[in-house]
Amino acid sequence: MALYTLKRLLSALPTLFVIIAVAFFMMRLAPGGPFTNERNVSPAIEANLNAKYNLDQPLGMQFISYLGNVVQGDFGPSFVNRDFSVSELILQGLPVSLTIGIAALMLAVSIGSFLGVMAALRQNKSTDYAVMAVAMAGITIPNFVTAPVMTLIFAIWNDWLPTSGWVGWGGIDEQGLGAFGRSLVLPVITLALPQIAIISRLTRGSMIEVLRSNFIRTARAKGLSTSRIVRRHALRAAAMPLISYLGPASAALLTGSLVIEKIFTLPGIGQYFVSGALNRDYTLVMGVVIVYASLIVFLNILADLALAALDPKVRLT
Amino acid sequence: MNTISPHADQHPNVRAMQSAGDAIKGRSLWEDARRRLFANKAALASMIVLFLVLLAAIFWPLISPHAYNDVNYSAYSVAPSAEYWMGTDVNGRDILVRTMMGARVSLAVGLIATMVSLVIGVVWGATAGFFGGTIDNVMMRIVDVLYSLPFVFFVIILMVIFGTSLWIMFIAIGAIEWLTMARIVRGQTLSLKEKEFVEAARAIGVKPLTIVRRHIVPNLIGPVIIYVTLTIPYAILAESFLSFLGLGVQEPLTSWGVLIADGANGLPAAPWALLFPAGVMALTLFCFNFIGDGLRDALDPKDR
Repeated sequence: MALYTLKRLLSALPTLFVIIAVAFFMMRLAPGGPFTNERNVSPAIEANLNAKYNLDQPLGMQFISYLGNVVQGDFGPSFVNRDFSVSELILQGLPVSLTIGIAALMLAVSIGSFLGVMAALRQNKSTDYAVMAVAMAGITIPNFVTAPVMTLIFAIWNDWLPTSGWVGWGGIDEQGLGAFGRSLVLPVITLALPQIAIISRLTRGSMIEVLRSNFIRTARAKGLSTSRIVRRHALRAAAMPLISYLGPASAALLTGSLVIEKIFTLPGIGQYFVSGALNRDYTLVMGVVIVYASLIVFLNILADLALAALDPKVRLT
Repeated sequence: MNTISPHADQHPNVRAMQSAGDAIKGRSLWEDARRRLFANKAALASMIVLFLVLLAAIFWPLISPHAYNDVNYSAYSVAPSAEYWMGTDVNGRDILVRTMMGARVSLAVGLIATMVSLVIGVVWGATAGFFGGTIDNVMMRIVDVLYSLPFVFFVIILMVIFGTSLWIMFIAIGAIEWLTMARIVRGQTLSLKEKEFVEAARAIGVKPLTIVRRHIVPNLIGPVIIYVTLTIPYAILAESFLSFLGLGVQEPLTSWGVLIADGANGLPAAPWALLFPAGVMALTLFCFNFIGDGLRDALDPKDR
């Protein structure tokens, strides 16, 4: 197991290297440097700026020094937000993004698997059809539609929840736990909806398969109650596809958070990424891509390891 | 002496058999699939709705009394009425004609990006599957690595670098979606290659290229069509996602993503500017999904 863990971690290095290299060279493909658009920059000043940001060195050298900095957690200065380094901006945004991301993941897993189990237990009955219809809707309708529509219903037509804004962990003392919770409800639910849909479908499918298997029949024949069969036997086996889906799920949540942070004006890294992309803040965009990519790669490994630990059918190679 | 006629096809019995054969003929895979598809009510209704959306997208902007970029400051945020069936946005632009213009752009992006992914995916997957061995290993390993990349972010970088042109968007979205297509086509090719009917064809001396053309490709078409129908909504979603963030289609041109972003921004004043475009988009996506599911049921002979 330890060897397998090490192997998986090492295999992530080439992937991360490819990601950083692709991001770096794509950014350098951009027509014009980051300072060419600025007015009234004399050639001497531009040369100085380029020297300051190492842009006057050969591309290969730039890449190596960038790589070295990234390994130390230094993504360079932000080209647009002059007073901040990219690492500072990312560290500011990360707690926000992680809070809504983790909350949405927990919500999606708990509600999604609950709905999936319910549908599987009542296969081809009205509960099943209802859950699957909702799941179809959740998969089809993207969160940049559900988020504004739910804002309209719950925050504008009914004044139940705030339309936007971030209270944050620091704001709990000032504005109370209630305000903190209420500010989270809409972003977390809209971020989780598509994942709830996918996870419920996935759980339903694997649950139906497991419920047909021999060991469940044995448990039934033993006279165990349905709830005990589900809790003690079926869930454990049916959870395997769910665990291997957690990696892609977190990737999808990160992507979704770009939209959610924009709609609810949450100061997370998704927000920085989008504004950085719109302002051509190359270093910021690259920094965020690298952080996102590392997160996704790391979470995929975590999901793989969990699967290897829990599923006896997985062989470690 | 009972000799076998050299013109067996002219023997009355044979002719009778042939005409009987004609009568029960016409159950080719495709005809069968079409019958099953049309028997599927959700898929049939979806095809009709989608056709209507397509007609409206093509013709409504031509016959509408309002132009999609007509700014009318005396009629901003007008609720749906006889004059403006879907109301106007905060700039006084007619939502109906804008939604239909958006449909043109979104559907075009969906179709063209899917075609891009189809071409790359089929060529890549069929090559890997047909040659097998090392070539297959290397090619599919590349697909695996690309799969683990957060591709949306690279699309965004592309849009940042090359500007937000429609062509970049076609290519960029097509470049994300081809991976799954390549995997499906490769898997199909690999298993088809080993099928008995291919072996039989090989045994009677059919040339490899003819085998590919007559036996492999027709059997690939089914899964590919299913996946194409399911890719189109994803491409539309990707376009809308980028446009929503302001990284896709730019004003004055519009798309569903742009309209939804505008609608969300103008929210307390003009909810219809959000709800109608969002509704039409959701309806279209539903239709594609139902048709895809219907095609899967119709074309999968194992599921009969």
